[in-house]
Amino acid sequence: MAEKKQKIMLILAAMVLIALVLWVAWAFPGANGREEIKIAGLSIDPDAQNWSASIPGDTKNGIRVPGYGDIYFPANQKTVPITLYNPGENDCLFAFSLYINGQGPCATTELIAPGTAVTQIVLDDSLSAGEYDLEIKVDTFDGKSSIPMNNAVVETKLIVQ
Amino acid sequence: MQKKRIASALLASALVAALAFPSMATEITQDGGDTATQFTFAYKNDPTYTVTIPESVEIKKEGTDVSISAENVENLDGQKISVTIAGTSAYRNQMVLEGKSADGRNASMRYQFQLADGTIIETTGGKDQVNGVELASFTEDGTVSFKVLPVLAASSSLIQGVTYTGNMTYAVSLEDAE
Repeated sequence: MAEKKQKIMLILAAMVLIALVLWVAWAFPGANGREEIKIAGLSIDPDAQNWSASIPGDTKNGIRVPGYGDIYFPANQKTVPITLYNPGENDCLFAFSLYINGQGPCATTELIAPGTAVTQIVLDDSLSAGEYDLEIKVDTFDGKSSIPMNNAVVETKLIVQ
Repeated sequence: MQKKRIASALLASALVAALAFPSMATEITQDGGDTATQFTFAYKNDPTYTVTIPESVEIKKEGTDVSISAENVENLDGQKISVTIAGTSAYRNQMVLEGKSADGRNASMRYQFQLADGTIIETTGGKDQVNGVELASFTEDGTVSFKVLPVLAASSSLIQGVTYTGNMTYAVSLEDAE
């Protein structure tokens, strides 16, 4: 009987300890020893996930910027699909912002680390069906020094249907 | 004998099970009928090509070679990838690097691009002077190189011993190929 009680107490103690560790990790993101990155008011985007693309060629110096053909968004929806990707060969962090017909930004991401992407974004306002000019601005930052580096803006056609 | 009974039972069960599933075909009679075919399409909007722009350039007195590349270029349908200057970090989008001297004075230095055909791209104080100037174009994978040169002509804003920095925004677009 006493042995059974002891086992139950041990299990309860283990559960309390695990709950405590999880709470600390959630409440204090830096407590796990890794420094939280913050550049120009931006943090690492929590929606960025590992993403790979078959981009041939040798690794060169320079910032690899993904380019796009026509982009298609569904009409009357604020959450729209678009893969905003920072190629793994890069050394810098990306932050994307979308401008539609020269207005914006209509949507932005937090920092995207090399080799990761977000696959959807939330627009400030949904769009009605039609064609628009879309600019995908890519701001880049040195991951170590936080210094802004050369940037790019990819211009393409947006078709909303 | 036992094995044969089990095998027969299994076969019979399979036959009954097959007959028990309703037909997936929609029955249409001359009086009409319920028809519905659901089509779905998932937008992906993935990148289709990659352009590599200069990362950071330490400009040497005699000039520094830089390059712009395009990879994974395909299905352009008579278009080209055009890389142009969209702006710089300097006032009025001038090709100017800025810094501060040890005693706190503001310093600036102009720079210029020298393309392979000898064309010089630079600003002389005007607004948006080089915005839209094409630096490279691609109809297939490739690399375009050019030189970045400091403009060291005498200027009150050019102070020795200063580290000058700045950045440029490159525009990437698909244009009709000439």
